[in-house]
Amino acid sequence: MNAFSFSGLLVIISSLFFGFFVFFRNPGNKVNRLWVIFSTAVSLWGLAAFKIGMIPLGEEKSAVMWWRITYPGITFIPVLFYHFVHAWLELKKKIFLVLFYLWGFIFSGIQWLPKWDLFISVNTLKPVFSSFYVLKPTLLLNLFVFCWFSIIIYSHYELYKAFRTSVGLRKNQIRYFFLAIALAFLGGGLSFSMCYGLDIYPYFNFAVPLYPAIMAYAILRYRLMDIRIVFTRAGIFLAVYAVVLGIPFIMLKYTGSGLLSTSFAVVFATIGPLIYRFLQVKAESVILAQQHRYQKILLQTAIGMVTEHNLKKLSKLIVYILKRTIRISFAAIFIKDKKSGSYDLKAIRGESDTGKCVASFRSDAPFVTYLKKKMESSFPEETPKEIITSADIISRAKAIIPISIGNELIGFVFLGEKMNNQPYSDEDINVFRILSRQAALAVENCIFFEESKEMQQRMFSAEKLASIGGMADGIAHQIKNRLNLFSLAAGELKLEIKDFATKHTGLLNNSPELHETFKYLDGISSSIIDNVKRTDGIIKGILDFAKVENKENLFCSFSFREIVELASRLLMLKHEAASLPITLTIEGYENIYAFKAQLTEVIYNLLDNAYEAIQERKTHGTTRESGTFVPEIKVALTHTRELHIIKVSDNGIGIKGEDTHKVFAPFFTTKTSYKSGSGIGVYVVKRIIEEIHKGSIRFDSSYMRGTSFTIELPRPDVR
Amino acid sequence: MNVLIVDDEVETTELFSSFLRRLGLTVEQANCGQEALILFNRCRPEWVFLDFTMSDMDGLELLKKMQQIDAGIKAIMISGREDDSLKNEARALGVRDYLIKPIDLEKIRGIISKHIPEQRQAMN
Repeated sequence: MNAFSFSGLLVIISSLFFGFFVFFRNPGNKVNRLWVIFSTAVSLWGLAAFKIGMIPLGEEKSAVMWWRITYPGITFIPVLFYHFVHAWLELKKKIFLVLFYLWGFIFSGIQWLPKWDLFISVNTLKPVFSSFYVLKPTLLLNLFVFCWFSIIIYSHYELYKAFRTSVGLRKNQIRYFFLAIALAFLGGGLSFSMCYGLDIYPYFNFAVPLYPAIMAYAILRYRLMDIRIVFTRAGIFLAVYAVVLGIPFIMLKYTGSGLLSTSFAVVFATIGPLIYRFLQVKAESVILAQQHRYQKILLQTAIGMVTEHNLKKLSKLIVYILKRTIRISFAAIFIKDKKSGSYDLKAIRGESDTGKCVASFRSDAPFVTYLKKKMESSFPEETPKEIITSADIISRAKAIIPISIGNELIGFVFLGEKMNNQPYSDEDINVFRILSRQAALAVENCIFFEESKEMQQRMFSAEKLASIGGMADGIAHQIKNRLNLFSLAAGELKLEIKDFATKHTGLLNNSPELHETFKYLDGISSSIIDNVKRTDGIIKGILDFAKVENKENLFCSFSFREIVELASRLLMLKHEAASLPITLTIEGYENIYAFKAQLTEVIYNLLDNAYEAIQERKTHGTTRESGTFVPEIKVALTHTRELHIIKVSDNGIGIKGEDTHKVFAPFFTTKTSYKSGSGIGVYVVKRIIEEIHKGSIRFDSSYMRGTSFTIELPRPDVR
Repeated sequence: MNVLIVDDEVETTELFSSFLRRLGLTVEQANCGQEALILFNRCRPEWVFLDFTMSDMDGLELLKKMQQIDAGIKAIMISGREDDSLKNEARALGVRDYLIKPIDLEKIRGIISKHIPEQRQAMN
């Protein structure tokens, strides 16, 4: 077997191996399928070299047969290469594809025609290096070689065009393609030179087996090593080993001392890797100076982050540092909200259209699920399409870094394109991994600080509330003393007037004016007494509110219907109404387990509000509906396995959007009626439900439509 | 019929006693515990209206001291505080009624006509 034949064997093996390797990694992908077909065509060329290299001189017929068998493969190499480029770059124009295939079919068929032995026949072969046969430069071969190279060059033109416009990964990938193809055609293409009498022994064929490996790497790997590094490393490797192996070789040649050269070879072989490593580090620190610089900054920042205790500031700091140091188009950070579980945008920097950025990802969003599963930096090339398209920011990001502690995803960072269009490298990913871990700690730290601050505030406000409760008692006492005086004074006035009137009936009868004055004074006194009573009512309400106490022993099972009826009766008394539009529906048991007196107060308060809301709508509603409005208040009781659910709804005036968040606040009222209370009704209701019954209360309201309160009380067996 | 009104506010005692006088009662007024005890000792009223909160002692303490002088004293407590435990303590001391400020004069009238005729009958 000569070198030509051996190189052919290597081409067959490497082309088929890497071709099928790429194919089986993703058989569904058109690019991968085309690649394996192309590789097969290349392997046919290898087969030609392998077989023909082994044919002894003089057996031209055998050489003709093998050239004829393998030439269709050689013919289709440029065609299939173009097709691969066409598919890979997603080119639209089909005309060249059709033309090239046509050409391919013509030239693979032409030699088989009976009269067309002008191309490959005993006559058109010539021996080279006295070891194998190549074609003579006939007209047909000229045409063939011209077309062959034209298609290859045209394909590279397309690649070059794409290279100019592409960014990041794609750009790097094309760089690899150029490297691979340069090697391949250097080896393969030069074979044609032998046809034209330029007798270069095809040692270059040994470069050919390298290219399928490079191509497979470029097609399959998402993040290719910076090609400058590949070149540097290869160059240093060659240079170092040329010295390491060359010096002993030269010494052997000139001194003829085997011992000396061998000992030199041993020494060089030992220090060779050290020199290689040293030069590599030096060279790469020059090439990757910028990248190393920002990686260093990021690591320093990452460690410093933990000292920041304000989540908002920390988020801003992170995006600022990322954007500035890596020099990227934008950076955005999302942090998980502990209460809702959703991931909210905390800070974004860069890009003018940040306003369009999605503000939050739900915890069950496909993207979040994907990242939770992956828990590693994610890049668009490896992310499923449906996830990329699920949000604008995902499709614009060139790298997504999860921030996690243990198995919990506490946030993520989106990074845009690098300004210099370089792709994110493996080294970047290592830096991001450290950054992410530090950021996670910093975020947790902030959340802890903020939670403890919030806790302190809550404790403080609870304390404040308690002290107000205590103070309320004292204040109420003072106010009651004042009211007492008002009451006594007004009563005294009334009595004085009455006494005077009885004593001086004649005087009053004679002077209608005096009579009127006395009547007026009497009216004012009554008004004072009435107002004292109402003020006292408010004070009583405040005291009751301060007095909500936990009295477990007062819980019992009682009829819900009974307390609704009781509350309705009280309400009719209060509003001097003959009837109320209340309907009660009970599903299942009529009895519920609760603190009876307090639940009565709850129902009373809610019905009172409902009734006032209806009155409001009657008086303030639009005139258009005044005739058609049918007021109704619905009370419903249902049960689940764990809860009693009480619903009180009305079709009254409803609550305006701006007021909804104040509904449960103490002393808040929108009621205009003079009969309305202090505005603490709903607040007391909430405290009774939440603190004493450990239940929940929520409401739903729309202005001019009505309001609906829903109360959930835990049943005793689950309490 | 002799009554003593004790409240640390002068205006209150003035107005209240004026009202009671209209009902035909003889009224003495005091504005602190010490003054009340002196008056009580001197006049020996049959009824006392006691405010619960005073500067020098509270109403119950005052009542206990009065009871040491005259165990048969009939008392009505007046308080701004609606407190069950105070009420119970007052009841335990034999207080006839426990009124919450602000006082409704009509209510006082009712109480007096309820208790005092009975007292008169007993006297007769």
